[in-house]
Amino acid sequence: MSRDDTPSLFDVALYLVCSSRHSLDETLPYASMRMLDATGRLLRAAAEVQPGDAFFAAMLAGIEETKVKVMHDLDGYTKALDGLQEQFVREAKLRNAAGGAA
Amino acid sequence: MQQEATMDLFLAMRKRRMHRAFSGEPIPAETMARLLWAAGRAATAKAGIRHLVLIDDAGLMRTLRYACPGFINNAPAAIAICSDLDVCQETAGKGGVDDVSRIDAGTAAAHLSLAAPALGLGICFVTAFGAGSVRAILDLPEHLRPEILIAVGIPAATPSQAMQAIPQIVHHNVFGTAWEETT
Repeated sequence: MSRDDTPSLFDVALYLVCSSRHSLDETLPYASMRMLDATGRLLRAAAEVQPGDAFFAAMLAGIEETKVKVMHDLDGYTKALDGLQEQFVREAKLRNAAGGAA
Repeated sequence: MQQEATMDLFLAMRKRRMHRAFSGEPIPAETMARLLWAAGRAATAKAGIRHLVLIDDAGLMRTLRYACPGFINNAPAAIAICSDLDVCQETAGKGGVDDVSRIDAGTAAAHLSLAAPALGLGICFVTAFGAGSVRAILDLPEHLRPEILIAVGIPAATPSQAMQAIPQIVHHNVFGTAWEETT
């Protein structure tokens, strides 16, 4: 997406509220995908205030690749989500061990 | 408007796909007019049931992208296919509201999916949204129900992943007996 499409925090909040309502009418995997999609939108918004974060950039690419799997490959989606989860947890350990805010 | 064919129909069927990555280039007005013409030519139970709303305002598109959970693409424009529920009710009663409306929207969506590749465009069906949200964004009256949003744009250089192989869906005479192609 172009820079003009970089979401604001308001945009992300709007997406989360609308997805929260819509998730009640969807399947569990799709509700999961909405949260993952929102994470991607949040990372794009965060890039505005925290530019140059290599982890954010890498995770954003992984999220974009993973989220569409829910539509045709639920096992692959689940496995990829396991991988993303593990990478986030390992990154959290590193950031928290360094004593700084993540 | 001249409506010459630009692509064999069966080739358009083969090339049809859902796009989630668009180039960001604007869609020429003439091209959009032809796409809308194609949607308007789709079968309908009665004139007045189906309404199309073209959205190409950047602010409205941005709002759609964040208010509609299924809008996971960066298309610069969209077409909302809506049904007039009053006309549906007058035409076919409850079945008109529950079923005919959806079929009419589906025929228009199918025409759009076939016309798009012929015009060098890509589209993506968006069905995950709250009707109330879309009504609020597009100022739709209560008797207009948004049935489906069609994101439209010029596909990105690297297109979205193609659909997987179509499963066996054709049965012969009775359900469960596979139809065998004999030609």
